[in-house]
Amino acid sequence: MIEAVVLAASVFLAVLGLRLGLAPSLASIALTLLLLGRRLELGALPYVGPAMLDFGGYAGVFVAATALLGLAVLVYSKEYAEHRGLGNWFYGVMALYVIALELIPAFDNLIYVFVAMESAVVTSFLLIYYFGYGDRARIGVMYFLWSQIGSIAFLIGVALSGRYAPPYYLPFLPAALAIFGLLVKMGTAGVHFWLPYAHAEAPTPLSALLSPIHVGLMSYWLLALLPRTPLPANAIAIYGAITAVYGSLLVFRESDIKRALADSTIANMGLLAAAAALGDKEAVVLLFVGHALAKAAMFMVSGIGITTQNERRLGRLRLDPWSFVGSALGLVALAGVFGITLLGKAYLALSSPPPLAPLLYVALFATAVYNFWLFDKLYKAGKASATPPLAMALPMLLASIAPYALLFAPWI
Amino acid sequence: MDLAPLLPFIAAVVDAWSRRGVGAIASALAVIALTGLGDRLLDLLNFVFLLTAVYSLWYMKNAERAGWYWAWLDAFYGSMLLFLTSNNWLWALAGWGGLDASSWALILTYKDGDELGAVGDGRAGRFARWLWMPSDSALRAIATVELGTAALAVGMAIAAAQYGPEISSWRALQPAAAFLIMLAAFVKSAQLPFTDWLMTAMSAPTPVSALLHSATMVAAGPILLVRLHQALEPYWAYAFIVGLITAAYGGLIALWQREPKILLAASTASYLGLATAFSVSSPAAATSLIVAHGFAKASLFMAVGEAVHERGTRFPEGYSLPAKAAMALSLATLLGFTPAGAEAKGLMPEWELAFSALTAGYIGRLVLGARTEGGLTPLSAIALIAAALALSGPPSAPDLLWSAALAGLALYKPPRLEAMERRLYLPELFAAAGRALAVVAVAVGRLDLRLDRALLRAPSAWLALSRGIAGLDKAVDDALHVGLVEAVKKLSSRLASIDVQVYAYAAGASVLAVFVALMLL
Repeated sequence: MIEAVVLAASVFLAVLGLRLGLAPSLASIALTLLLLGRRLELGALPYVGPAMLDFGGYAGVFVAATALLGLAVLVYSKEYAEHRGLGNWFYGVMALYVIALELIPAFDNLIYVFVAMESAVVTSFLLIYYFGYGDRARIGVMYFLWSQIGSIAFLIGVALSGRYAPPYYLPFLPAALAIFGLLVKMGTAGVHFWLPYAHAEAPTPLSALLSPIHVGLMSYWLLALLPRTPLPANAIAIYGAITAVYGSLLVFRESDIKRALADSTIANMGLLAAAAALGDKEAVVLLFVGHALAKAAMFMVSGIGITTQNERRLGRLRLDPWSFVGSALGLVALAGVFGITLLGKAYLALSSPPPLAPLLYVALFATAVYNFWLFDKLYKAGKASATPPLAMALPMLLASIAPYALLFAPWI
Repeated sequence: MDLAPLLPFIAAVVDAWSRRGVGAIASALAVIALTGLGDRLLDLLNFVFLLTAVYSLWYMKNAERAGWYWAWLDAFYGSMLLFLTSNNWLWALAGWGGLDASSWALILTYKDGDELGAVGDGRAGRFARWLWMPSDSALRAIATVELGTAALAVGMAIAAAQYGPEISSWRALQPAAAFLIMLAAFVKSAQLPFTDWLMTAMSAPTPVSALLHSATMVAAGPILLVRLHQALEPYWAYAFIVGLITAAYGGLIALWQREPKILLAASTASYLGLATAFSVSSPAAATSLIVAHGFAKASLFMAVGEAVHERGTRFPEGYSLPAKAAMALSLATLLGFTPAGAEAKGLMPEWELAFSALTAGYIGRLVLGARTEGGLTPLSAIALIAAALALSGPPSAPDLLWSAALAGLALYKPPRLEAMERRLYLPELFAAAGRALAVVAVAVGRLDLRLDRALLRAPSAWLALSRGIAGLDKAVDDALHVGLVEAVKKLSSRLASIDVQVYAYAAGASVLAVFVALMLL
């Protein structure tokens, strides 16, 4: 019962944040941390059946990563929001968005999962539509439409299966639809076109959650559902590895740091899709958390550039000493050269069948190298004279150090 | 995981803040206390790192990025410790990756434009300009070594899936795993054709080179092969051939290099080539060579580094007497005249003498071909200590035959040979490969752009479809709600305009017709 009260209170605080701004929004996300390790039975609904919210176990890792990164991003967003003159309700919608994201892995009933996905899409759509950059209205609608293609395919697939609660089972056609929906929402090769627009033009604090957390969470359900389908897992793993190579190569075309980071997300979603397809729980969680932290740190670096220099172009965006350190740590972690992403890549290799080895080798190499090209661009632009506000620098540094610190965590 | 590899990472955090090497020195001493003496590779690492850290106290005293330097130097040490001491493949791989990251970051210590961070003479080549700034060198290094790290991750994973996570329990490896693991070792130790990243890695401050070329990074390649020599036994010939070719290449081009640090880097490729060649077939010889070469090469870099640091140039024309003494002692080690050198030499075949002769030639170029100027400084003193560490092994008498290598001193002034100075144009090959990769990336980017543009036209197609449907809908709508109504209206008014008598006649005629019909029936 206490779980329901805590969840209701965090939603209430987030709603309060729409009016009062940062403080209640922060409190709202902080409160959700109390739910970690807990369960909440929701009872049965007609047609939909029983449902449960599980904030512990394997899902708990995803929930914890989402909540903690959500907190860091919200702290970071204060200066950014002030710089861009965003209204108070920005914080409230951000908090509601984080709560919606936390519910995606927590629900065990697929219809509720769909509802959580849609809540996350609606809140993020609002943030892009009202607070984004450039042609934000058009890009917001583009994001919304692509998300709906994914969500609706997922819903139809799930509905056709008729098995909403565990143990899931999806026959071929429903499975194909549901998995297609998840892949669209992950932005894997061929259905990725929306991702660079949406993630680059979203307000940067949102990008720091949208890019690593939102799309990455789909891998949780890919992992949970794929073994319960007759779909060829190896083929999806190959497709994932191809996506990793393709997305990595796309980075080299970019002249905008946020678009480059968005392309990098496509590449990392490829690795996650491959890990999920191979049923490797360790690889999925390590790659998800490693990518989430490092990518968030890098989006924060881009936000610092926007706030202090009004600049996001590669070759023009200069790094201050803090961002220099944060970028080096963030990109090395993102590359998987050191830190928990490296372990994630190793686990992925461990669970791969030998015939996949050549393609996986290329994928691991490709997903590493572009990060150093990106750093080279930032490095060559020279040193920034402006110092970032502490509220921006600190979360950025914490996010960039975390993939290394976690390497020495006892449970790893 | 043991505590020892964790200490340098803690030191890294301390040194990043303090911008001094206190953490580095303390961690090295603590690790020595924890691990003790006896393991030769560990001793090599611990003592070379300790000396490098002390050396850096002077060398990096006024460096702009001192915090950066110390933190990554500590991480470099910690990564090598992790690699050396881990039997679990995941930790060994983490250490291996940490070496990549740290070396990349250390190459970036100097800023682009700093004379000491540059490599090359600026001449224009076909594919590359022969001048590499730290950012270029760092990118070259990491892009090359990642070819090896990705290979190691996949190769070790295949082996771990077969034999379990403990490296020591791995036996005959599948060809795919063996190929990938050996590729990783070759790339790490700068074997052909992956050699040139090591030359441009000279953009890093000299103490980094002293560490990177002796006890860490490049040494990890043959050490990996030595650790897996049983599992790789059927494939020893590949290591032997690649190693020997690289040894010859490195030894020969070293004779013609103008920059002393590049000369030493080429020498490293040569000695690591020899270590690689023997790593699988004769692991004891390879280990001894790694140790002897490690002390000698650390000392050589430290000796050259003194002049580079004091004179602020990459092309020093003279060295102090103590620095030259350190060089001479290091040469003696490489030729087998010190206990550590003699042990390595004694385990190798006699034809290795040819490489010793080359060594005498290029080290002779530093000792005999440069002026002697200046006295003892802390830097040359540390170089001497590093060289003297090769005396610490069990005494063993050198073979008189080995002194024949001293004839190689005659090579210290080789005639000009453009191709050798240009390192047989390997950097051009590297640049061409980089361009080829860039072409692939551009092609993929263009393909994606085309698809993207096509999709962006989708709303227009959608709009056209929607307009078509709307037009059809309007046509049906008009037909139903306008056309039909009008027709009914027209018909109605037409019918209304006819006189009532006509309807009466028509009705009467109809009744009559029905009546007649019924009658007839």
